[in-house]
Amino acid sequence: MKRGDLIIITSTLCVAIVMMILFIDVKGDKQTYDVVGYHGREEVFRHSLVEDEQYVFEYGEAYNELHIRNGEAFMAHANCPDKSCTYTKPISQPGQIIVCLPHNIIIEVHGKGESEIDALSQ
Amino acid sequence: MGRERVKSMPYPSKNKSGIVGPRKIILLSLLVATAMILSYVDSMFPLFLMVPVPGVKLGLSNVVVVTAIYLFDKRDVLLMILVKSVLVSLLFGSPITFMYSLSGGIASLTAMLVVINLFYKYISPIGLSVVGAIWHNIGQLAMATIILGNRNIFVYLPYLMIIGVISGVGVGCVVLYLERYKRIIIKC
Repeated sequence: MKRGDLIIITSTLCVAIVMMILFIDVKGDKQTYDVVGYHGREEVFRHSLVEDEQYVFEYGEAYNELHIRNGEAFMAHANCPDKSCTYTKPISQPGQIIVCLPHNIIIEVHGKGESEIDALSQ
Repeated sequence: MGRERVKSMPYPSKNKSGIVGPRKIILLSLLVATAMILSYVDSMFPLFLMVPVPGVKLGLSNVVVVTAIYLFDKRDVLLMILVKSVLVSLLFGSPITFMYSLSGGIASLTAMLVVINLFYKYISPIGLSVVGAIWHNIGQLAMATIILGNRNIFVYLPYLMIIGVISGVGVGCVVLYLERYKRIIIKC
């Protein structure tokens, strides 16, 4: 262990903590939020966060079951190898996401009507 | 002087280990095989149960890459990473896994080569493998941003960085331990 190593490790941890603080979102009104599901870049699902709903993403072998319950969205079932999406905590704030990398699926919470992705890709 | 050599791993620009010809090819392919087994073990280890972040990994195969950086020329290491990515994806993964593994591998190799060429006097394998782990994550997240078209995935970067520091220190210790057997590795 040399001095350079310590500099690298401490600077990395500092950057990580600063980023964590920056990414914390301000809590807002749940009525105005939508849960949006993407398969790749394509929007395939959009539903209000306050109404309970169940949606199944099925693309060939890929199977993911999204539930919206009590103002929270979570992945109930998935048949991907790592299943990290089902272990992700339920999301309810804008900017929070659930990702299934093997199946190319992203679940996001958005403000109603706004679609950042569309604006970006235009 | 001999003590100094053991303490700080030298980084001459070319032909570091003096291994050439068929022996180099054999050693490189052995390293690839080790890396493949390590990434298979890696994929079985249920780290995501403790840290539910997509793409979280121990990065055990980084041991091989860091060792190879100290033993071989950068071209050989690049070739090793390419072969490893192709074979691992063919055996245990999908085309999507291949793209993630390739982007991560190339990003981490580039970062490690830059760091070791600039600061090799001040750095040991521990710092080097931490850099590699973090840039592996950044490369994979960049690829995920391209594939999914969604920048929000970078919210996971701080968590991945902290895991990367922990696993990078572990990997660096393993490489330091391997350094003791460097002479045996080179001679055999």
